[in-house]
Amino acid sequence: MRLLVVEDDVDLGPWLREALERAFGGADLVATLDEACAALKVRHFDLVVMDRRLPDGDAITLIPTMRRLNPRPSILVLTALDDPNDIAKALDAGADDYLAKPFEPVELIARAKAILRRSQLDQKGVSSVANLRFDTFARMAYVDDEPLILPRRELALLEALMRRTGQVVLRESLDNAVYGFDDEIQSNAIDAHLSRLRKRLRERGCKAEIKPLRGIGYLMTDGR
Amino acid sequence: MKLASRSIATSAAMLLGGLISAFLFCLVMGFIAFYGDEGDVAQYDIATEIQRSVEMDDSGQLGIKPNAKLMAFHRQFPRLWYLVTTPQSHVSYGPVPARVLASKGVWDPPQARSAYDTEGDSLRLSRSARVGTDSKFLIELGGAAYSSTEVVMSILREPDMTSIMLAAVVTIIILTTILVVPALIVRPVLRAAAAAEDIGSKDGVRLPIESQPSELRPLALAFNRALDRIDAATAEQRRFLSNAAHELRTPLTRLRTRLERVEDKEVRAELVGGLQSLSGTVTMLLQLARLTSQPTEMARIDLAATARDAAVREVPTALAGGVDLEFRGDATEMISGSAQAIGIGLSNLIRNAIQHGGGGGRVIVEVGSPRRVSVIDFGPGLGTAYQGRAVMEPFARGKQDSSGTGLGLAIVAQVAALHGGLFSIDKTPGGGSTATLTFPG
Repeated sequence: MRLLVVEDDVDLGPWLREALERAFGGADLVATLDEACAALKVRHFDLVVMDRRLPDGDAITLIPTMRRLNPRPSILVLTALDDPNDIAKALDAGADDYLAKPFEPVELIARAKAILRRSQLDQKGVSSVANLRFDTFARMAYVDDEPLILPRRELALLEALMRRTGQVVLRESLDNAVYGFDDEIQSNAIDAHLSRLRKRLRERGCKAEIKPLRGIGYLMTDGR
Repeated sequence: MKLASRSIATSAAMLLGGLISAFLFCLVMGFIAFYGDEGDVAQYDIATEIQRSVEMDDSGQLGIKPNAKLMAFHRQFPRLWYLVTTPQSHVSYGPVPARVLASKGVWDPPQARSAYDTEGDSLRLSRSARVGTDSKFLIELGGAAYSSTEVVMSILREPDMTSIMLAAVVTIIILTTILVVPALIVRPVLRAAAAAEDIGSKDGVRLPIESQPSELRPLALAFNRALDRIDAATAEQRRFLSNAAHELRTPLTRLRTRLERVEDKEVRAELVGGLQSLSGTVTMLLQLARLTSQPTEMARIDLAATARDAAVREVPTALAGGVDLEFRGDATEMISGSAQAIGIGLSNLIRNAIQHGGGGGRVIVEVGSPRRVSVIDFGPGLGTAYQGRAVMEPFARGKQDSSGTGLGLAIVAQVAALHGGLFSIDKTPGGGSTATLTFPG
């Protein structure tokens, strides 16, 4: 796993590089858009963590270039600008997520993990949360590498939740993930499926947790 | 002042109507003054009154019992004379000329006739004769002529077809003026106002100048210049807030990363807590500044979706605080507002509820009809001393030792004010507080 930090602050840059390196294995630090471009040409990065305000411009201008790369790096934008318009601009440009400064170090790592997990699921078809692993191609879930046999709909629910681990998944997105257009949706069918799924995971000693949020949806966490 | 604030169009129409009727009145008056009464108008009026005053008994004997109007004519015209003749008898009043008296008893109806004196160039009616009802008597009179004013008064007293027509024409002209002129003046003004309304909060849109009537052009130009200034000020403000955000948050972030190097865990936790509260204050100050200083873009939005988004955003805070966050409200609830501003307000309410009312273990975000959203907690609730407006003022806190910044509720109050809505805090039945935002339709 290789990460690129684009940050011109002399204190924050090295600290980010260090923290991300500790969590993900390898990270490089550049301070300007030019250097970032150069670095991206030389090698592939799984995740680019970048500050918006850089000495030679707004980092958002770099996003379209990055999205054309193959394989495409995931992008986490750090911003000290809290105007909701600024945040929307970053996401519209194609950033995977944003984090407002000042942030808690654990929050940064959690966001980076979530993004990487999602991109891995997309690119390699595998995602894992704690001791739970999901293989999209084989359509199989494993707890501690032991296969977990799940009915079709529970499997679909698990995939939808794992895809967005650490983030709230709204009930209607779960409805969409499980039911086709022609299926008749019963109002509490999802809840019934999920309660069975949670029971199964608990019985198998799965450390990942699915938290129900009444009226909102569900949230998958690594249980820590 | 009062006159100035009245509608220009109505004033103009009234002025025009007044001028037209005054002009017509002067025209008529001038006509009358020029031609005057040569006796025919006055003598006609008097003859009418004489006819009403004539009494005839069964034997055909004549008598005159002057009515009030005839008495008034007697007084008005000292030289008035008249002679009423029937085949059998006659009655006279005033200095009847000998020539007329001599012919009395000559009963030759039916024709009415007039006799004119010639004085210089003008003709003057000296005598008119009139045949009574059913040709029973003949009235001859003379010695009376109205002045110009009296002619008008006479016409007004007993209007004939001509004067009624004249009055009708004047009335129609005045009515048309009052109805048409305001429409003519008001339409371009209303069009300009509609264009101004359309500009709303969109940037860079201006009133069209070319299509304005020349009177409105300076106003439209001034309006556009004012918009330019406002846009420039807004852009400047936005730049300032961005810079302030950057300049405040970058050192806070730097400081936060440095705190990671503090060895003593207890000291670090304490410092991190302090820094987090400082960061929270900075965030809220920036939010408040943004809400109070920048125009809010209003749109038709679903309050339920906006509230649920806010709840979703605050799920991590709720989990960290060990609070179950619940959302209630399935139906869409359309309002006119800014999803951004309402989102910020609700986030603050939810965080507030988690922080101060989280002891209840549960916080509910509820969207109700009509256009209402509540954040309900089951904690200790606000002390009675803080109920009401005080807590909504910036930097006011429920408790002195609380860790809040005292800005959250001020932000919510500002959001409510931006939308012309209401913000209230009540007791939750069974304990806790319920903060409610109500929006207008």
